[in-house]
Formats: sequence, structure tokens, C-alpha cells
Amino acid sequence: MRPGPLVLFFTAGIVVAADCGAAEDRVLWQAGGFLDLSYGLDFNHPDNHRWRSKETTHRTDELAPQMGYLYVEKDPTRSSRWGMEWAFQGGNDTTSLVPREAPMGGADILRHVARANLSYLAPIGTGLTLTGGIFRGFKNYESYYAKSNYNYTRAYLTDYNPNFMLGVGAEYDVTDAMEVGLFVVNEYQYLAHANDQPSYALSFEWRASKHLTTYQNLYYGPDQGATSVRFWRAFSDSTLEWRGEDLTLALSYDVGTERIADQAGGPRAFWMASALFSQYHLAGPWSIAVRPEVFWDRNGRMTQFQQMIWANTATLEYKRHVGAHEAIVRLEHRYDESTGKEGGFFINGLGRNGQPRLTAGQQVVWLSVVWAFDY
Amino acid sequence: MPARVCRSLAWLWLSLAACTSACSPLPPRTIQDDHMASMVRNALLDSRRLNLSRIDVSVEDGVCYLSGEASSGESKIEAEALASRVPGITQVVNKLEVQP
Repeated sequence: MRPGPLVLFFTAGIVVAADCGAAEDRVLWQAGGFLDLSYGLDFNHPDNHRWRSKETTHRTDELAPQMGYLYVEKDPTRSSRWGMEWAFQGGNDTTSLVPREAPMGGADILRHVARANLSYLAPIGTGLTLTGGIFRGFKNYESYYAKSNYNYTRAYLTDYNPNFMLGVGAEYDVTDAMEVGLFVVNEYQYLAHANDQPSYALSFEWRASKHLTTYQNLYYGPDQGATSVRFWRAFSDSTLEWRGEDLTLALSYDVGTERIADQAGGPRAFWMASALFSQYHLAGPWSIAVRPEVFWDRNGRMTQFQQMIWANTATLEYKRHVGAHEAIVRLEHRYDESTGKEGGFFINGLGRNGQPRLTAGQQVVWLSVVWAFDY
Repeated sequence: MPARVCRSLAWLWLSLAACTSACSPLPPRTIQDDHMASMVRNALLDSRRLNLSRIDVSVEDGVCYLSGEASSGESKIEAEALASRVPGITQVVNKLEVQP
């Protein structure tokens, strides 16, 4: 990757820093990071330590640094309209960010850049925020990072969402309770380069009432070498959230489709996923979270295997602050079952063909520690 | 259970024990802390501003910690202001990250 764009972003970042004005900018500058360590005890004990079909926490039966993250950001406001974000990451959870097919040049390095963007709050109406660079992908309910979630391991639905975007975008607060966004981005997988055409994304958030919020994301664009509209990918991610004082429930539903250009007849691939996120605050630093989910990869377009996976995750969380530091300890039980023509999870031993054996069910107990600091 | 697994688990539990011991001098969370946290969550829910409902609130010994994500810089400032107005909150530590 050419260094020019990065140099430009650094220079612009200095300009943003010089734009500091009002005292409230102290609140808007923030820096910090976190370290995510965990151990997943897989009762299948696969020899290759692999969690088949998983993009995050894909190593089991070993103590793993899943994610290390450092960031600095300056938020745009009406008094100081420029903003920027820089964040760098490393760990097992970044390896799957490099696409299997058609990765762009330098993807193995760029996977360590979590954020590199500039933003500007334009004085148009209630405020139009323009952003360019590498920024957060769809605002789906669960984050790519375990730190921000109710459960430790992520749902398959989260793994296979566009969690990062490379491009430009504009977001507008229609009212205090409604926001729309339009983005022109590289591809569904932000580090892919299958073609030179842009893709498009739309986001919508509406706080319908005190307790109810709905989120909707749409993606449409070419993700294959063939760029005819006939082969464009269409994807929808929808969430309905109900939040009370101590209990939160959120239901997410994803559906995606595209015609496969390099197969005779251009057959249509289809995938669908759903998850119910829930968290109940018990008392003090203790919370519990339960998340049933399903992921149907009819043609193996996402997971590489034609399969239906359902899973249930139950998490006990202890969270404590120490000044600017925060420790989150989670004990989690997860059961996954994969069925279908190419379904299954790795189990110890080799099959007759010399390949790792597969079994339908997988049970894993996770112990994780996330140590975060923010200034 | 394989020896390798036992060693890894033992290492992990020792680390957890050490972490817990290090944290033990911390003041215990009180019922009043939980009550204040509920009041802060209610204040954020009552706000009409988008996405203030998704902020994680924790109160320890009167200090309110706001973490998670805010949709804008203004939201982040408003969340801190709302939390600071709750009776009994002595300080607000604002760790909200704005996600453009």
C-alpha cells in the first residue's frame, strides 16, 4: 500500500489537533486501549485447536491474546467541527480480517489499523457529519470487540457482518431520536479488492420510545470480479431493542444474497442469521447474558461450508473500575450445533481420509479477562 | 484431562486470584451505588437523544462510570451532564467512545 494516504491522514490529524478551542474539547479528546485474553476449553479437544466456521475467538484449548487495541480520538462538535480517530489492533481476532479471496495489497498490515479517519460536522441543518477513511462498519447490535458486548464470544451474525468500512460517509440527525447515514465504501469486506467499483451502504436508527430503538443497515454493491449489477450483493441487518433499567433485550435478523459469477448459470447464494441478545444486571458488578442464535449458510458463501448452525451462549460477567482502568471478567458456556451437507465442528483425531474428524456438536467453556483503560 | 490443559487452567485461575486480591482494597459496591446507577440509567432512558439508552452505567462509591458508545460528541457531553445531576453522584468518569 502506498504511504501517501497515511501521510495525508497524519498531517490532517495535526491540523485537527490545532483546531482545539473550547474547554469542552478536553472531554472530546480521548485515548486508551484494552487487552483481551481468554481461554476456551473445548470438550471436543480438536488437534488443530480450531473453532470451525468462526472468525473471532477461533482458537480453543489455548491461552490466547484475542485482541490488543490502542486508540486516540477527537470527537467533532459544534464548537470544534473537525474530528479524527486513530486506532491500532493486534491479536488472533485480526487474522480473519484478511479476506480469503482477492485481498487488497498490504491487507496483512492494514488488518492492524482499526480506525484511521477524519470527520467534519458541517453546519447544515441539525448537523451533517462527514467521515472518510477506515471507520466502524455497520452499527449492528454486537461489536467486533468483546469489551463492548454482553457475551464474550461473538455471534456468527456479528462475525460475518461488515464490522469495518473503508470509504466515505455522511450521517445526519433528522431529529434527536432519528439518524440516517449513507456510505460509499470499498467492499463488503473492507480489505478486499475484487474490483474497482464502489459499493453502497445505508444506515437508519430510530428511538421510537423511551424503551424501544430500531436499527436498520443495508448494503448493495459488487463483491466479485464480475461487476454487472446482476452479480451485486444485497444484505440487510435489522435490530429491535427494548431496554429497561436492569434488563435489555435485542433481536437481530440478517439476510444476504448474491449470484455467484464464477459458477455456471450464476446460481444465487443465500444466507440468513438471527440472534436474541439479552442482559440482566444482577447487582453491583454482576450481570448475566443469554444469547440464542442461528446462522444458515445455504451455499457456504460466508462460512465456506453449506450448513445450518444454531447456538446458545450463557455468560456471567464481573465488571469493576479502578480509576481510568476497567476489568471485565467473564465466565461463559457455549453450545453450538452444525448440521447440513458440509456442517460440523473439529474433534480430536483424524478421519479415514487423513483429515481432521468432524462432529455435529461443540461445547466450549470460556474464561476471559478484558483490561481496558481510557483517559 | 490433558496435562497441558490443566497447566493452562491453573495459570489462568492463579492470574484471576491475583487480580481479585489486587482489587480487594477497593471499596465494596453498596446498595446505594446500585440505586444511583439505576437513577442514572433512568435519566439516560428519559432523554430523547438517540442512543443514550445504550450506554453502560456503573457506580462505585459515588463515582459514576459511563462506558460504551455514543453516537456523537454532543451525546457524550449530555450523558455526562445527566449523570452528574443524579443526587449522590460525586464524580462522573466519562469513557464513552464516539463512533462516527
